[in-house]
Amino acid sequence: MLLNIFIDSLIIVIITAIGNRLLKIGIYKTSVIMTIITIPIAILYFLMNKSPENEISAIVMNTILLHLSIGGIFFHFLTLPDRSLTLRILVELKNAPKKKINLEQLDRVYNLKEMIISRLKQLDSAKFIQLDNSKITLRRKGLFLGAFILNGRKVFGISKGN
Amino acid sequence: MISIFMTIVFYLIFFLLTLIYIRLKKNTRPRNIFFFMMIIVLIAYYISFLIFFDLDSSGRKFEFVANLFFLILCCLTTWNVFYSILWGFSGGIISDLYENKDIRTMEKVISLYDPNDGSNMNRMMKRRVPNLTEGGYITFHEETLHLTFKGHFIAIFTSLLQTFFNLGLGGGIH
Repeated sequence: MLLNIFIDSLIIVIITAIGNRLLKIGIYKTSVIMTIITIPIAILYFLMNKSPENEISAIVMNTILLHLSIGGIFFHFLTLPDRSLTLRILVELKNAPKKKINLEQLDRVYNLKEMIISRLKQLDSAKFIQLDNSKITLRRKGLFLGAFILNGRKVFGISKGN
Repeated sequence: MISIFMTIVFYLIFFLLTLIYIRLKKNTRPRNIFFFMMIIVLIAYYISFLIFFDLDSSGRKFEFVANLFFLILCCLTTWNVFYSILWGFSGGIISDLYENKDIRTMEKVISLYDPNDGSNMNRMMKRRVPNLTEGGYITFHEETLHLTFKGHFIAIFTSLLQTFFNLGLGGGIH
């Protein structure tokens, strides 16, 4: 069974990697779409490898649950190389001569202003905010997320974010 | 079908245990707590599954594995919501904008992260550089960051993933 799970995971990973190069709609949308469209492949694969005593309906249901769960875990995993600022610092250091960099150089290659502008543009295209030259307006989605974050922090009793 | 309800119950146990621990201990870096609670809950789930449904047939074993992956997904989602949304960079910007109407311009958001208070690090670096040093990924002295062997290994692995999935530079910059 471990081999079957491994092969199912591999299908999602490879198809997402290919899809991201072809579709150009962003890695997260691509991974969701690819996970969903590969469900029939997974069902077929697990049905081909099932024991004769197993019910087909149970195999189908459990395959869908397993396949979507693997896709979801993979989705979370993708946020690390794509969005983590901490990992980005390590990659910048790896690319630097002698694997070292001072704060001034780091500020140049990893410019705070550019990073904030890039995030604001992403929040704008995802319709959380509206950027009008320099002016920022929170849209409905942004207001909802803002309230969710502040209440979530209250629930966990944690302070400000990054 | 009953097993999925059991999975949801175990996820709620995970959520409550983590929440209670973080609140009581006022733990501001609960990465290990999420992981520890997840392992405990997964073991408890395995034992409960053995008690309520035996794992004799291959069909039951497959049902168990599917539900176990679903439980892992639910736990990771909570973990990721905590770190990426409640505590993440974009989440931080949105909540700052929500809380304070006076900073709703690009320049003011930038100055919030780089307050020019005489410090040699901006708000993003202030937390990350000590975390990376504590974790043994870098050393930091004389205003210079040096990559350690452990950090180099992680950086190579990250670069390979970025190339394989065509992610660009990382750090959420597109």
